[in-house]
Amino acid sequence: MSSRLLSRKLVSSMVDRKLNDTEIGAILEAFSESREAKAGLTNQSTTFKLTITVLNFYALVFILLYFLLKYNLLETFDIRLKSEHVYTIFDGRAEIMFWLLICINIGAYYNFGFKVLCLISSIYVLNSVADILIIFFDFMSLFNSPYFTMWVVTQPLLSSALVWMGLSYKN
Amino acid sequence: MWTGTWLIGCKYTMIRNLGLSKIFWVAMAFTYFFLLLAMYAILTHPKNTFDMDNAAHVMTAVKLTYVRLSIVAISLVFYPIILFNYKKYIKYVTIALTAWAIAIYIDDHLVLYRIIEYPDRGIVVFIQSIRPMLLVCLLWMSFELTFTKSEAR
Repeated sequence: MSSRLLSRKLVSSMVDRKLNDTEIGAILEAFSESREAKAGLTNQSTTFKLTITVLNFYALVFILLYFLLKYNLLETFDIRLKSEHVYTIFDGRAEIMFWLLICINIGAYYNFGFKVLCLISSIYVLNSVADILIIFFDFMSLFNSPYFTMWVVTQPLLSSALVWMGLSYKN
Repeated sequence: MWTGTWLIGCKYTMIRNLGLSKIFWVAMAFTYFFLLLAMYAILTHPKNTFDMDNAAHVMTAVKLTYVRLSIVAISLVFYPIILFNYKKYIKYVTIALTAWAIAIYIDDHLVLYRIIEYPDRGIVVFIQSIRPMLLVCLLWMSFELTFTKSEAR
């Protein structure tokens, strides 16, 4: 008997009678994987949810601060931070961080590649803070460039938070 | 002589037990070749290869290069040790190194291109031109370690 004929017979027999509890359970189980995939964020601990929320706010606040400084809406005391070279660097950094943040959020929501994304982001953050320290170490001062200094000082914290999130994430 | 043959046999068995493809080993060999060539170029560069009119850019390039050089040297030594002895973690180490290589490539071309200046020396130009190949090799290694399973890993 061909497989097509067999499947037709099976479907017609299923239509003819009502499903019992075992069959309903089997159907629900078959779709449970897709439900779990979308519920990746709901299974996490409260600390994890709090960390990812704080991380989003942190990144958005610093991106916002950067654009306020760039367009002269906030006061800066260190004139060296207003050069075009510095803006090129921070434009690049802000853009890359923005896309990484989007990828992390999508990965967390759809339960796909979140750990790898956290690893990549933490490596990127560590590399960028090392570069910044090498290039702009002289610019760091809590009085002359408070936003910049705060940003550099908190970068290792961000990297640690990303590592922790990657390790504690429940697939 | 027997000891030597036995050691080679052991190494061959260790490599075979990892269950990795020939492309992985070719990619790893290319990565080692590239990094050793880069280290040679950095350590043997003559002083006059830099544009001395732009001292700040030169200093930045030199500082960044030496920091990267030290990370590369440590990675070159420890990567085979992790590959053969701590197989469970090799996937994450490879992904981390790939992410770092991509991050510094993006940094050099999109972020730091106005700050750092590489010399026009032949070997440096050659290294820069084959740099995307290094990224391809590292990506291949990361994907292979992620998507192929073996009992040893």
